[in-house]
Amino acid sequence: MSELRDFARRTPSWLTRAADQSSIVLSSRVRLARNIRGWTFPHATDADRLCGLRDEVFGAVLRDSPLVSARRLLMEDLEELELGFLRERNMISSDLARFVLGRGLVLAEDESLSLMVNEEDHIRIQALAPGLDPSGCLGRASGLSRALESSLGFAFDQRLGYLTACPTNVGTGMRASALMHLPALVLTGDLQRVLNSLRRLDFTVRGTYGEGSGAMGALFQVSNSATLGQSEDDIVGQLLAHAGKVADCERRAREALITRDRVRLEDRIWRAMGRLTHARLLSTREALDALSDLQLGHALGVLPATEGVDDWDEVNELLLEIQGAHLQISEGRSMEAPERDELRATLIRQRIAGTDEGK
Amino acid sequence: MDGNCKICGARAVRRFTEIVGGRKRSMPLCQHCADAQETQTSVPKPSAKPPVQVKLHAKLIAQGLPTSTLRCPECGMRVVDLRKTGRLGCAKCYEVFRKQVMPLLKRIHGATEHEGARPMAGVRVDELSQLRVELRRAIEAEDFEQAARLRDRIGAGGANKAAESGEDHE
Repeated sequence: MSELRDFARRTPSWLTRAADQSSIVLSSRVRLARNIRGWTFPHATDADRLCGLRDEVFGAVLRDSPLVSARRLLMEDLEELELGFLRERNMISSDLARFVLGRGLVLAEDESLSLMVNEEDHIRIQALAPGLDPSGCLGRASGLSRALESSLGFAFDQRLGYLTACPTNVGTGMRASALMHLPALVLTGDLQRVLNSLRRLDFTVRGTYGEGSGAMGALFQVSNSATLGQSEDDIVGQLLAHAGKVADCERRAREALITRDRVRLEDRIWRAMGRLTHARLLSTREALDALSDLQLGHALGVLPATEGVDDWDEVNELLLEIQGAHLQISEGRSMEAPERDELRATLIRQRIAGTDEGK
Repeated sequence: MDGNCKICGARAVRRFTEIVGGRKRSMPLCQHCADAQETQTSVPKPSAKPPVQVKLHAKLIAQGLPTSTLRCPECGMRVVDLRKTGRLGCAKCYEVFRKQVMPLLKRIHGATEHEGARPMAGVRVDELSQLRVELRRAIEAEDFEQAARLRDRIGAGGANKAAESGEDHE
């Protein structure tokens, strides 16, 4: 467990505040799916061969790639809690946490670039960046893909492009997404309309933690659905355009909220502040929702710049730190839910009030 | 309506228009294929919770794939497995089940032609791996002249790689 505690002490580079849009677009991500020529896809491959394949990928990463000095993890060596921790940090999928044998992860120290081995496809490259920067992510992901391609050789069809286990990923094998904070669209009830129009444009919107307007913390992932028939740059261009439009809608909804019913909005935000600075037990949902209100209050100037928080990056950091496996990894032991709720409340009080008040 | 149906070649009766990836596409279709497209591309109901991806595709496949006794010679997968899991077993499956997979790809992506990045130009990747194997053999056999020639050819592939990745990073 000690190995991952280093990661728990750091904020991943993609969650640090970047461009001016970052109060709405938290981070961007590009994922590339690749398979090695001559091998059956992971779900049709036995565990021995999966382990051999993982060795081959790790070998290629070590020979010549941007991840040459990155951390290499064998999933079957990790404890349940460590798998949960990586899952919460979006470094592995729930599938990789569930089927561990022969699966692996290569992870850059700053978490901006990683590679899952033997998930649905042999290789899933993931590049992350703060703010709206899908082209930066694409550059890094394709750099890694090309470095590995020269030594591994990927399954490629002249007509269909890169071949993947699921037909939904064939072609570019690329999924580009933006993690967006959309509290005002949730509050005004306009979210569904925006999401529906995105779906018609072949883009998918999923709650990061939960679905639709019930998504915790009003955090949503906007991503392309089609991977065939469009170039990588086209997909990046569309994500930029669509995420930009969604951000505009969110901005308009924020203005509408503050002009229409300022007092109600202020009440909501100050109540959230009250819960975060005084509650003794906080569930993940309650904490994420209240932190979301706090971010909204800060963005709209309802909360004075210094109120309770010296550094707003710390609120972003809390999004990860208050999650179940994170709390337990940083404490170095497993805890039942009530104990986690207490620890979560204490951690938030200390961080937001900036004092040991009520500890 | 002039021309033939883009899908089955029968006489086209109307133009079918759809929006894929934000772009409008229009093609002549016969009544039968136009009706089929109409039902396939309808927008999901707003209130419907987005279904788990794999389930959706298993469902799509179940609805759309004709039964077949085909079996992939590489991995042994059958159409019934594709229907059950929504996944293909290996790269060869895309050749073996092309007839079944193509309409599915059209429905999922609105396209059946790859437009994105390709393996490095000049030397194809499979040639490159082959060259590496030959290089190893030549070195083991101490045929250094042959090894030098092979290394040059591999190097040429590497140079193309550098040029291409440069473009990609822009």
